[in-house]
Amino acid sequence: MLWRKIQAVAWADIYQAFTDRSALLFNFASPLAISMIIGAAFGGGSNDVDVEAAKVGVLNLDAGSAEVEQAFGDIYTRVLVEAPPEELIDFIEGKAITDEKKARQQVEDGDLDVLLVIPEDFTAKVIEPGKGGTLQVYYNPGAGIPGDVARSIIDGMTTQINNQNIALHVGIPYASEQAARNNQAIDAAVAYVQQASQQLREKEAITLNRVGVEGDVQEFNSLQYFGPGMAILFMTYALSNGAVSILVDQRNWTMQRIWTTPSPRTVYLGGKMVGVYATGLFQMIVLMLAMIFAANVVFGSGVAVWGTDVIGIVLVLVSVVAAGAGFALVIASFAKNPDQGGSISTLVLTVSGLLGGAFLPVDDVPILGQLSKLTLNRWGLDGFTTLSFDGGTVVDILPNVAVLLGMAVVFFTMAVFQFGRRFRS
Amino acid sequence: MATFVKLDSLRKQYSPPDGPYAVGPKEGVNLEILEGEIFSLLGPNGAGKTTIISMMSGLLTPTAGDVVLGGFSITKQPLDVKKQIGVVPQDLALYPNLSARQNLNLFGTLYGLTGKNLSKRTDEVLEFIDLKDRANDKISEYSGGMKRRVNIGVGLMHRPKMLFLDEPTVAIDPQSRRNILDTVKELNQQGMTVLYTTHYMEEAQELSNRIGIIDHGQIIALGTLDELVKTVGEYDVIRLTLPEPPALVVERLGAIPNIQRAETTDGEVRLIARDGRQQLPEAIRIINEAGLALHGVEIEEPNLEAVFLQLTGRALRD
Repeated sequence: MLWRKIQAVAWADIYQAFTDRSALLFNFASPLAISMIIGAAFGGGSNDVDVEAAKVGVLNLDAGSAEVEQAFGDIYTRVLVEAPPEELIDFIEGKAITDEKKARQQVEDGDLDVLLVIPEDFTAKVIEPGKGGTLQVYYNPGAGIPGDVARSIIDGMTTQINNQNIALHVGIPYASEQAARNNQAIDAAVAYVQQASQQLREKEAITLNRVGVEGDVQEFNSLQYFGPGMAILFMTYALSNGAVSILVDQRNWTMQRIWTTPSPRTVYLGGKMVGVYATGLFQMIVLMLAMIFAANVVFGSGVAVWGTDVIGIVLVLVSVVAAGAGFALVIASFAKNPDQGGSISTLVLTVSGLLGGAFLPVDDVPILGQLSKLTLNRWGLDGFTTLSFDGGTVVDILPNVAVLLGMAVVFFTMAVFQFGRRFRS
Repeated sequence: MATFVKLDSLRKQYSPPDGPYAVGPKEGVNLEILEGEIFSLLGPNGAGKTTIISMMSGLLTPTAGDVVLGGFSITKQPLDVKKQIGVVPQDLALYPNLSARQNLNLFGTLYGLTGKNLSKRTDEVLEFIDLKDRANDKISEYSGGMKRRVNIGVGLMHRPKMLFLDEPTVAIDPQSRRNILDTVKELNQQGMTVLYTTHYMEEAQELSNRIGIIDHGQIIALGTLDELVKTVGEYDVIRLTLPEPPALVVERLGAIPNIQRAETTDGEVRLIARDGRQQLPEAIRIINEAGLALHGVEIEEPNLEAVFLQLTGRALRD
């Protein structure tokens, strides 16, 4: 019977929330419109979104060669692991690998974006004309931008080494020899170098053998960032309306009237909490579905706004709504009246949204980046983006879920304590 | 009639920031309400009527004392007490964006009704408050009187043995007021015990079997209308419409034999007089001597207002 009563109180809130036209417009149309406008403005592959450093593993087995001072494998290790150039520091997080099998598993699990395996005879084969060495590049197609960045860097290095190899084997020795004999032969030497280079380019010294480990290739779209950001922000606004309704009930005496019924007082607060939570959950689900639909209409099929890991999405969803409901209730519990509750909630939730990156990524902004970790927006947004353009799985978002649920427990406890204190008669 | 409610040394002490003040004297309020009667608690705004009802309905915890209602203690068995009472608050305690039917269903569920019993009782109450045709309209679309009727209807959903009505006629039109008073009488005729608070003495006079007059948190008089009126004896109230009367004139009027007291309020001098009609000529003579223009004269037979005036030295609505 108690649960039936709690449901009745919750239903009253949910019904009112979803039959109020102006609230519907604000809570559903606004975030959808804003997300789509931003998504359309930036289009796919926006550079404005922060890109995480690529996690690159390098297994260097290259034994080198007596003919060269330095093994080519060491060049890759130096650039990617030991001493990356300044311009690459923000994009590469390299580590030396010793166990190939374990490292490939890490790529599969998403702990490494790219694994570069340099075989033992790599240098020897590279410098031997006509043979050429092969690098194995394992990557997770779901790794998104960081994986692409890492592969581009390896591509670039390989191209440079190939070019140097041409000079080493063809150009410099032949030209020096011819120049030492007579100056008239230079023209002939240059012609020879051009011809030989062309032949060598057709059979490059190094071949990159790219091996996709698993998963589908994911296209990045700005909506994957701003969609969840706006949805979470507007979800918290809707939750605050629900939480402030407790103060409205107190002012209108509906709360006191409920307390005169033969029901424990916990029925009212429990019903309100269930109502607030259910309202937020329903709003998020509707927004998520609407954004998927709208994204496919605007950007065409294949934009996984929320990722493809359903369990991960559900976990982030339920935990971010729980944290949001708790936060909204805490704010309301400290407000003196509905007007003050509404104003304070709007202010606090907007600041929380700003800090949490709803409008712009703040991860790399000094101080703000750290402060953002105090907001549920950041943890929720990070959870959803990990699942979408980072191609993460349930395991990757568990820290987010844990933090959000921890926030929810703390917020709900505070709200129950504070409401209990203010309603003590 | 048997005692249905007993207030035993009931007291509420408010502390800052709400106080400090207390409802109930140091020894607390003692009061009995009989089964099947309409008992009115009459007093000015802020006298403590709502506080007493709040303690009786379990909304406020008494600082001292207890209320025993239908054999159950509000401090020890609050849920058992609440099953027997319906509360109609002074405010329109309804959800404005829900319809009358939805409001009744919600509170009916909270009173423990379910399924067919709930829908059947909702229809009965809608019929009783004469809103069946508008049952599915939002409360926000109702007139003030219709809202008041729903407000009462919610308190009737579980067929309570006793109904608390806290100033149910505040700020409504005369027709709706009449409707509410008739409803209260009808419910009482069906056997319901009613506690009715008001600051309108006419309502208390019309409805009540017994009346308690409350002021500054204390019940200062208690009894039937006749019993209370007798406490002021044969005194009438003479109202003289007299703009800005000099204090000396008021003093002379008060000195007339058989006039117990004279006082002024907004353009009016009120005389508490034994056999008022006999004293009137002398009063008019004093006014004429002072050269004042008398705009009107009215003599009221003894009533609750006179009782209140007698007991407190001020009018009920001051």
